[in-house]
Parts: sequence; structure tokens; C-alpha cells
Amino acid sequence: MVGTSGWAGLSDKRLVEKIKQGERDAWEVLARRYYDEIFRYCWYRTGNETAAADCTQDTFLHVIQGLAGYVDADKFRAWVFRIASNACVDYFRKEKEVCAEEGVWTVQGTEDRALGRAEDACYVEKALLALTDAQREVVILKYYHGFKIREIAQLLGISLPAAKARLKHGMDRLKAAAGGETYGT
Amino acid sequence: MRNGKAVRFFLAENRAPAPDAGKKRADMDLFREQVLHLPVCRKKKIPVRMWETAAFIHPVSWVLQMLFLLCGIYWAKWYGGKTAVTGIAAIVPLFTAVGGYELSKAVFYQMWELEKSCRYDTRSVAEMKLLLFGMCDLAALTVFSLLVYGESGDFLQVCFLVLMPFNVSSGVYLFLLEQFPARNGNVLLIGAGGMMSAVQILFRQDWERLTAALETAGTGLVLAASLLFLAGMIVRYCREREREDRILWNLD
Repeated sequence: MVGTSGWAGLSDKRLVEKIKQGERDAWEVLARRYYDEIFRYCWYRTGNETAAADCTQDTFLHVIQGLAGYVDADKFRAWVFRIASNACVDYFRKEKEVCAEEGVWTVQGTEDRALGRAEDACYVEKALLALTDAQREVVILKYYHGFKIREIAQLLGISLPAAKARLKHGMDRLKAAAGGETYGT
Repeated sequence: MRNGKAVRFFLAENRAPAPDAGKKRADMDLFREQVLHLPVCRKKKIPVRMWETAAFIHPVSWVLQMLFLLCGIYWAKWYGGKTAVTGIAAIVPLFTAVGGYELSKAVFYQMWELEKSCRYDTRSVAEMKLLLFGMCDLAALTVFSLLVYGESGDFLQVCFLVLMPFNVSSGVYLFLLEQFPARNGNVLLIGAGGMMSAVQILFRQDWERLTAALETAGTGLVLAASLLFLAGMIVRYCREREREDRILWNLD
């Protein structure tokens, strides 16, 4: 068996190739490279550690399922984030259905639910969760994960102006919150 | 951008926690198990496959290959000109016979059945070996041709008696391998090599008439035709590989 220590420096593309060719140990390197980052992304999206862990697990299971047919290995990171984004949307949808069935609350917007859940969270987290899911997604990808706005548009499958508009509205609301809390001014 | 910085600073106050180590370990185990079910694709780049195949070729074959090169250089140095060209021309189609031992292993050791069930079948393995030997032969012939050209300055001789037979014989080998993927394919190759070599020896006896006939047809045209034939066979080979690469191993 080839040691995986030498693979740490390999690009995502090379690792994906290796996995497809049957060298399954390459997966270990790829998973470790992105696990923490995806977990953080899911946490920012959901604001909940358990939900973030579930979404992370779902993301990687979907990545494994899609790996055989995945071609554009140059954009592997963006692809994983796209799957993570869908996993978070699925999580919200499922939770909404469960709550509606149990009569805990009727169909509620993500924003309201996020706000409700964030009652005990810190002020910044509250401000972040106060954004709409679409705005929050763009802000998180831009400021926590360093994606460029063009990449975010591609990743989310939306137009560039739409991505810019979401970012602008999100930033306006965050700026207002930052101003209210006298952060960074 | 002041506003962007302000937001970044504001957001920096909110840091996500690290994932739970136990959960992460459990997830990794689950992923490891899941990834085992992924289908294995054949797709490997040809240089990677050649590098991997080279490790399985017996050192004797490489030594023989080197001997061929040294003999060619010695021949060219001592005899030079037409004698060297016609001499090497006779053995050009037999270059593959150096790898004959490698190519025929599958049949002699009754390995073809096992190789059929492996990731790459006998034919595919033989093709890779042929490509490797082809590259070595090309290097040997290039050195030889340059030596002869330096001595005699007769480019026509080098083209007709060394490069053209090499192109044609390589093309024929590729054609046969694609056309007859049966277990006797390697034997067929060695037979074809012998036959082409015999044809070359016959031509050698009638060198003057042959040169005149080829000159009438046009040096460039004949050489281009042989090159086109080889290129066509390589394209055919690559297309076939491309098709096979999409097939999942053991599911075809």
C-alpha cells in the first residue's frame, strides 16, 4: 500500500483521479482537507452544531456518490461547497416539514426560525442569522471561505448581478448591525 | 474598502467551533467504508500506464534493446553508408521481436485467462509494452539514422530503408493488436514481424530498382503515406482506449 503522507501536497484533481483509479487511500487526504471547512460552512449556515455535523456528513456522502461521474476536477472545492449548500437547504426543508407535522410551528421562514434559534447566540451570530438564507450564503462564502463573487455565482448557479445584489443587501444589514454594536468603525 | 473591512472585522468576532473529534472519526470511518463501493474506472493517462508497465518488463529485454542500439551504432561507424542502412533495414521490423519474450509471456505461461479478468486485459498490456519498445526503438533508430546520414549524407536511403519500414511495421502491429485481440495476438505479431523482415531482405537484393521506383513515386509522398498510415493507427488506438476508459472495470 502506498503511504498517503506523500499525497498531502497533491492537488484535488490528482487526488480525485487517484480515487477513480482505485487508490482509495487518496480519499482520506481529500476528506481531511475539507472536513473542517465544510463543517464550519454548515455551522455558519445553520447556526447549530448538531445540524452542521449532519449536513457535513450528508455532504461527504453525496460527494462520494457523485465522484464516479465527476469530471471537472479543477473546481473540486467549489463542487463540494455546492453540495454542502444543497445539504443545508435539504436540512432546512426537512426540519420545516417535521415542525409542520408535529405542529410545533407552522411553516416558518428560515430567517424567523434562525432568529428564534439564535436567541442565546452572540450578537454577530444573531446578525448573521438575521439575514435571509440567500444573503447569508453569499456572505459566508465570501467572508469566511474566501470565494470570489464570480465563483459564488457559479457555485450557486445564479447570475453575477444576482450574487452581487445578495452580497450588497447582506452587507448593508451587517453594516447596520456592526454600526449598532460599534464594531470595526 | 472601508465597509468591507468593517464587515470582515465584525464577522471575525464570530468563529465556528471545531467539529467534535469523535463525530469526525466516526464520519471518516463511514466515508472510508462508502468509498470502497465506488466503481473503479480504467482511466489512467497513457504515460502513467507506460511508467507502471515498464516496471514489469524483464531486464533482459532492456539489455537486448540496448544491444540492438549498440550494434546499430557499431555497424554505422564501421561500414557506414548503404551497407549499414540496408543491414539495419532488414532488422527494423524485427525490433519488436526484442520484446517478443515479454509479449508472448501471457501465452507461454498460460496467463492470458487471468489477465482477461484483470483491470487491463492481455491485449491492453501488450499494447503498452509495444508502445514502450516502440519509443525505445524510435530513439535507437534516430541515433542510427543521424549517424548514417552524417556518414553518407543520403537522406533518401535513411527514409526508405529505416524510417518507412519502421512506420509501416509499427502501424501494422497496432492494427493487428486492435483487430485480433485474441490470446494468439502476440504470436501473430511476431509472425508479422518475421514476414515484414523477410520482405525487407528481398528488397535489399534489388536495392537499385527499388530506389528508382520509389524516387519516381516521390520520396516525400511515400514517406508521408507511411507516416499517415502510422498516424491513422495511433488515432484508432487512442479512440479505442478512450472508449474503454469509460467502461467500469469488471462491469463490462
